[in-house]
Amino acid sequence: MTSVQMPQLGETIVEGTIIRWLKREGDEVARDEPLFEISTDKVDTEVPSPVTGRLVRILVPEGQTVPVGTQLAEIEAADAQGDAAPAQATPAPSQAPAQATPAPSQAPAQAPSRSAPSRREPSPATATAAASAPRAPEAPPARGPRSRVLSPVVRRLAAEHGLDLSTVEGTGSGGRITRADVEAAIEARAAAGVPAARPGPAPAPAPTEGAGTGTEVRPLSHIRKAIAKHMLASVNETARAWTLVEVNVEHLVRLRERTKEAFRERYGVKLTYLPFVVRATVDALRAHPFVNARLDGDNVVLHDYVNMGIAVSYDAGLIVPVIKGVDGMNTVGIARAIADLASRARAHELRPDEVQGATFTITNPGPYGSLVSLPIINQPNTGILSLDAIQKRPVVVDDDAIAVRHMVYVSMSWDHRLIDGEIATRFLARVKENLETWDFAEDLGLDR
Amino acid sequence: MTTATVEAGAAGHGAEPRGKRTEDGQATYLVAIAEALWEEMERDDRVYLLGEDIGVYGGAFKVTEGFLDRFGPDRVIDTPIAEETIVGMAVGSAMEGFRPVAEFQYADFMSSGFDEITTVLARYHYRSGVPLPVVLRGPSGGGVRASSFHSINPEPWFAHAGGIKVICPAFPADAKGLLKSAIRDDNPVMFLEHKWIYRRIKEPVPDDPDALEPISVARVRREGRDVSVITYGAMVHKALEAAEELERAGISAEVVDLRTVYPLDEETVLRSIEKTSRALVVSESYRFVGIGAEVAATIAEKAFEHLDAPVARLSPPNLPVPFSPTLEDAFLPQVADIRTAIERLSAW
Repeated sequence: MTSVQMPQLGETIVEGTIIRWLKREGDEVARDEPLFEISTDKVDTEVPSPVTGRLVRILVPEGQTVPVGTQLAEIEAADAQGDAAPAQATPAPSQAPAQATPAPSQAPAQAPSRSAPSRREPSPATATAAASAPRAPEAPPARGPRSRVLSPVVRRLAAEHGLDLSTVEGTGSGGRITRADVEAAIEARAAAGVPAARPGPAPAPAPTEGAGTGTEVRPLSHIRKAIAKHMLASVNETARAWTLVEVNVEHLVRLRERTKEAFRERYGVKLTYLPFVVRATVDALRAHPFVNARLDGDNVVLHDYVNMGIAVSYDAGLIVPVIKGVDGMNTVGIARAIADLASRARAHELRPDEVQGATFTITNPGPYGSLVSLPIINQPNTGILSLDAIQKRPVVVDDDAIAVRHMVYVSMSWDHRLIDGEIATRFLARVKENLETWDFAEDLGLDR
Repeated sequence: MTTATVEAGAAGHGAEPRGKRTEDGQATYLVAIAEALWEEMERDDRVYLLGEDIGVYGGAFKVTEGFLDRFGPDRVIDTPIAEETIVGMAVGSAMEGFRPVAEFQYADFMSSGFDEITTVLARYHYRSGVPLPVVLRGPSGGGVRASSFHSINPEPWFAHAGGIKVICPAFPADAKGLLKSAIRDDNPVMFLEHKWIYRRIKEPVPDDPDALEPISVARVRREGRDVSVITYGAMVHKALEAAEELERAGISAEVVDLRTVYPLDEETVLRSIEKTSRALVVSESYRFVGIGAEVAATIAEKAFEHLDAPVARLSPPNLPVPFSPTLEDAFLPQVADIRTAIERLSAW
């Protein structure tokens, strides 16, 4: 018997939530075949089976959050003589359980799970029911392939009664939740005397003419809740200060205009301003290692490398994929890494370790039109740099003339616990100087 | 004097319709229709019949046998084989205050009067303000090995015309009550009598000459919880049989008999969907742009939030009704087809 455990998806992850089991008890499963989906603070992912065999028992139901290392299921290996995991050879319970590892990329299966409201904590009613009435083996808790097919009447009834559909087991074809299932769940809840999870909106005051009266109450997604918690914790814990510089990016704009077609043709990705800023920032971080450091109690942790977090907005909220070892990359490499991470972030294909380990973060609200931003520090980083919108502005140039130049505000929120205004300002001045004076053309590797 | 000793007919006269009720008072669909005609002609002198061979011969299906003797040649008129003329005569006399009931030997032949029906009969009231209380009746439907010229279900054509009510009863009592309502209605009404039902289905029917059934009101023929089968005409009987069989298998099907296909009783249909959340629409008329399509669209449009499964349809393709019995059976929805469709829907 092989034990499947909650995997450690990244060094700081301590727990995970089972989103759904992709196999039912009794199902055959092949080695590396997706077995279940889990959700951690930042990423949802599929976890493949460590061995080939039969899923004998599921120990942690969907929706439950358990610590890393918790035993989740048992698989009876198909061939004890096989060359699979050593865990199969001896069925001793003390045998080191096979460690499940996340699948590298399971976009199609993963994407729908984002939109379905099924990753919430189980309601008290369900938790009680699960505790008092463990499921019999012939009624496996696994969800069928059509458990996410929600018909209009099912959606309406669930909404009207504030029913969390992730707590309802579908008896329809392929595990679909039918109207009868919803009605039974509503009845069971009423019988248990549990109030609706989400009562309807209170009566609105008399509306003024032309004003809407509709109110909708939706549960927060797992991701949203994680973001909220993370942001609030940062505001509460850091001594946030903010510094702004203005950068003349005229020559950068011209370079990009001149080379963007060729760049795209040569490298297959779009050339934006972000890679230049990342490159300029990395140099400044090397020059000011405390900006690249983090506080750890009474210690400061300095890094001799730069892992750059890039804030990416996507349908579920905000995510910060990390370009590991960005200090070893030129502008082309950075542009490619950004394009890759951003597209995979939006496709929900990031691995947990790709959203961890940033030593510094850049956010880029410029394309949306923001002129100046005051970002919240992405802890445990010390600083977060904001690249806002590039605009043509009248500026005073060297010979006291007024000229039109492409300008941009670059600012940084920084943690005053670790660094002071001088470092922050000198750091930003270095970024500014790099952007204004470096000739990036050579870095792009294009024939001129 | 012989009249005193003659057994009384439907209204105490010597003549009577050929078709009689059974000893326990049940009437076939055909007898129920004859009774309705007879009673309405007794009630209202303005009501008269016209059609091919309806007098001396008593009609292609013998619905009007005995009528000539009772009501005479002025009120039971044999016409030439010219359907456009029949409709034209009915329209003209209705303009003059009569209430004609025109018989077609087969509903297939109504299309010979298509222009008169759709262009004149359906629109005249709108154009002139003069109502045309005309009833066009004829045997429709297949399943009797009558091939492609004698098996049509023309209700979609005429429901589509607008301005003509279209009734397709499935039971004798409904046929009687609805035909009487049709004759008393001031609008043009097409009354389609499914010939497969004519002599197959019998039941007690009301004796009261003023017992009417309302037009445009559907009826739930069988209560059920799991799936609603919405249908009309001969398919009601097939659906009821399928529902009966499925009851034993633990699936509870509700059968809604539309009775009138235009104007449609949306309320009864939607109420049934609210209850079951699953709809199977069965029609013997063609699938494409058919009555079933209209019902399905109405459900999708107005009961969307009540649906637990896609609306399903079961109807023949838009092709001639085959002559071969094997092919005709394959062409028309059968009890087994309906059963399978209900099963699939309830398991969706």
